[in-house]
Amino acid sequence: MRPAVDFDACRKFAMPNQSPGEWRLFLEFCEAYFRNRSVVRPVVVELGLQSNLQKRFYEEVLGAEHIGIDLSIQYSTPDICGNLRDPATVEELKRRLHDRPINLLFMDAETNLLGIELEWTIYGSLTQHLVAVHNIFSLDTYPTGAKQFWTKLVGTRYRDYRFMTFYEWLPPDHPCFRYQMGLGVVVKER
Amino acid sequence: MMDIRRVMAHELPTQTYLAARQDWELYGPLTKHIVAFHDIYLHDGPMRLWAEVRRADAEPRRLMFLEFGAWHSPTARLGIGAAVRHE
Repeated sequence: MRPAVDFDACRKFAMPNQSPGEWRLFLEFCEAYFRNRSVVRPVVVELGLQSNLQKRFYEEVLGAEHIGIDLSIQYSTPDICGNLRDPATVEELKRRLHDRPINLLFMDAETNLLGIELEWTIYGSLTQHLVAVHNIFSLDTYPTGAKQFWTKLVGTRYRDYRFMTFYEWLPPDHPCFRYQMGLGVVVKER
Repeated sequence: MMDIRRVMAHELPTQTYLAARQDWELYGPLTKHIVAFHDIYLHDGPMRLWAEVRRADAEPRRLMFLEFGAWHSPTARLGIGAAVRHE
């Protein structure tokens, strides 16, 4: 049994580049999802880390084993540094997984449709439970690859999976307005 | 005072704007934490009310507006909007 989580304690953490309401809602969903399925220590693989401030949330809130992958060490310290399309990166991830499935995959690296589809194909196939796609409701000033990917995936796979979206509406004058990007979660069960 | 009260438009004979608005006006003030609005992506009435409630929460902002969507097909999603009072 997982211990109860104090979500308010998260307020002390440095916030990642996420809409605060959306991020907390997403974490609460994941925590309940894994608790209800008796997944005590989920394996979380995150593609694209930026400042890697999400790691603490995954580890301390979800009690997860977090494996972050990024191309660069300029802004963060990834657990695996490499190109996501490079077979060596995938092999290194598989080596760390020791034949375990990924429980939660968070896709936040590529911003173009082709790149995101490739991430889904390669890393989604290693995932048992949840695949999160960032930026599915992004403003038009942002690249729209995730939005296109989400629409296409729902259209082709809605009979196979559950598709959930999380979104915090913010008014245009809100300081976090530009971060309200929407999270789509593919639940790999029906 | 109740902690959670759902305003569910689909419990009404029709998903009209006026019926949903009446629910919000009657039960919203009795609610301490969360008011959930059903069908905010599907029916014009709840969709319009949801937009109005968001607009009406001007300074000082008292509510957080969260949206949950379950996509049943590329075009069918019902959507639940949750107006959450800040503590």
